[in-house]
Amino acid sequence: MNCKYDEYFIQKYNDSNLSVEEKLKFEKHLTSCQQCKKITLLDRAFISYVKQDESVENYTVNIMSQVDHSKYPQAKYKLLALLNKSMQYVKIAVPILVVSLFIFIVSSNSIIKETFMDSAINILNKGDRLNNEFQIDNNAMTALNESEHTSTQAIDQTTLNENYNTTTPTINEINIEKTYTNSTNLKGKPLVEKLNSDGPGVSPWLISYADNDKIFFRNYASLVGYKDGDIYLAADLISLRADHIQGSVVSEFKFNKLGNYVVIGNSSCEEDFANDFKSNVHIMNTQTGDYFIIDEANYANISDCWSLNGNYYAFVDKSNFSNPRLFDASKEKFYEISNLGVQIEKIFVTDEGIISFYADKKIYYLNEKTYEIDKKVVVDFEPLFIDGKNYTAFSFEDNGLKKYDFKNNNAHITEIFSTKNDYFLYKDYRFLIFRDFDSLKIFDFKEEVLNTFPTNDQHAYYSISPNGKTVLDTNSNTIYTFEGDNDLLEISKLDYSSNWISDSKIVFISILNQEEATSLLDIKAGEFEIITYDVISKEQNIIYNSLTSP
Amino acid sequence: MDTDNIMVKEILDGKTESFNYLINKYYTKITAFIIKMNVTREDAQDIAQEVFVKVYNNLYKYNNNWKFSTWLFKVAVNTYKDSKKKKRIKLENINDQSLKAQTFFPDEHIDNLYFKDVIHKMFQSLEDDVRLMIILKYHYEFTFGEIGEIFKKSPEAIKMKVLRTRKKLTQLYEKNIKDGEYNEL
Repeated sequence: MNCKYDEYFIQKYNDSNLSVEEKLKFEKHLTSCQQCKKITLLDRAFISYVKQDESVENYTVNIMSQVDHSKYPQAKYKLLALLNKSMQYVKIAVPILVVSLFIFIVSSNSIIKETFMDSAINILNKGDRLNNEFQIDNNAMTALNESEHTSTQAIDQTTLNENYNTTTPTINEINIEKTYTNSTNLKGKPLVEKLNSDGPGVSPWLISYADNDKIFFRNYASLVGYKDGDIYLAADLISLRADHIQGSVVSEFKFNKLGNYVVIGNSSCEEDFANDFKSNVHIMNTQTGDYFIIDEANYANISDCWSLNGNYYAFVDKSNFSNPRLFDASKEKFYEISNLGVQIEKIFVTDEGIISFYADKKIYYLNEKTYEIDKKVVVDFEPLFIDGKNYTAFSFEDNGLKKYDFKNNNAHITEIFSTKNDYFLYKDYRFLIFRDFDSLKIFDFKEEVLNTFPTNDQHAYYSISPNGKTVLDTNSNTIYTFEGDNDLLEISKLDYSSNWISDSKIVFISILNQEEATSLLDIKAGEFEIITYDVISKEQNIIYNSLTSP
Repeated sequence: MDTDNIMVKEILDGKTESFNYLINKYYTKITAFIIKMNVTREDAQDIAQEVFVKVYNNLYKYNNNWKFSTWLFKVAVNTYKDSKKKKRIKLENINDQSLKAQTFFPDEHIDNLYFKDVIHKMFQSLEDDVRLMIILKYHYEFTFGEIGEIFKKSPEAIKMKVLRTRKKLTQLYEKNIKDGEYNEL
């Protein structure tokens, strides 16, 4: 479906599983979206069909005449029924017996008892366990050569041996051929004509990236760039098979900080079936439209990360033991790290290209030069963010954000904040967004600062300015500043497609004939304006109009 | 203890006429369930009878941790599948003639006969298990957990399968209506 709402959302609507707010919003959307309306009616029709009663004649069949009435008065079946019933208790009793027997054996043998108690204490004492294991992992290769360890250390060594018994991790440059396109040659009026003929899709012109020089926005078939007063076709999404029309498979766009590269791939909403929807994952130069295919995968199964400066991109397919890949944008080179021997769940890369990752309940820090494992720490939290340069990791656990510093031999834990909520709203590469009491809070992993925005609203998505100090709530058209000076925007056409150009300026696209259109089909996707809005001076500027531009 | 379980207990205690209560309560439902699987009425009635005879004969094995209705439908599902495997049942003909569309867009014509025929044809073209699951979920209002017990799968797996099929149906509809004509799936 080429719409922000997919079939699963529509099913929720038809099953009355949406909140009142979501329902009202969607019903409003239905008035203008023929595609969603059609899917809604189709889905409803299928359910109505299934619900329809079948008329069954009162067929007076005498089943009673076919059964053996003498069966159940027999004592044998009473006994069997009783035995069958008692089986449920046997199922409960057996594990209890096994556990009791285990406790008996443990308590009656002093050696087993001691080993067991050591392990139990270690499990219960999180801090000690972390430190003990960390000390070993800190110098993994040395630990292998040492012979004297405590009991906990001996276990760690086994783990290490398992991981190192093949070869050490290596990094190699890999050759990925560049595909050249001529897409960016399509500019101005001819592009406007193409956009009109493609049609708008359902939620046209999401702004995916914006800065002072360039803006990128998309409908379902095209990624369009704006630069120097003109628009150009950055990517023909149909030819990339990322055109947002494959059912609930939606295209993903991940721009780096500089906006000169974007990763384009597809994501299936159904994680369990994500492997059925693999497609190429492209890294595209946004200025030339040329691209590399980094792998074939589905975003639902990918862990990836752009470094905060936008120079490195790390990528791994989580669904198998595949090797992580690293892209160096300044050299346009690809590297693959092999022999890790683990299934990576989350990968991170720093501005220097240092890779760290989380796999099998451990955090791995790779060496900056050799990409061998520098440090491996067993943790009992799932990290949100790992900084491979400073050997730190962040986690949201026990209703709060914690920072773990593994630089020295003893792990240092800092509680950055605690909150009443046991969840956060979402996280991008740099910011963690969550709600706490009567405020919205944003933690900046780069600057390691926490900004608080006093607001009681209950929305789920916010657009955050580049420095993290101003937030745009596109639902209420309100700008929140961390000093608490909230400001209702004086523009009405804003929707979720707006984005920040700079710390004080936002940009959005206004479809020109939207108000006259009675259905989505009446909207001409090529007729639009790009408008910037300065949140301080309240100045609004039309920087591009597709009808009047040459 | 609910009435179903009281009746089961009475039967096991020798009061076999209590089985009449269960037949009266569930016979129509089980027959309709089989008919929904596109089985002819005659065969559906035969299967339903077989279900009740099996249920009676195996009642001493019934575990009242299950709802009686869940267990009954499990027997019905297995009996249906078994009958089909042994080719003991006839299926209703799906209208084979090309369906000329009066409209390809459901909209206000959602109730028209053409549209119903298409939906029927598409639904019956799905594999057995998922049809059974969908009927149990939306017609008999079983929970995903109960359906999971019947099919020995997790509730999440059932949910995923059912919701995914709903999505597939809407996609197939669009895909197969071309040039005003309904094409084979």
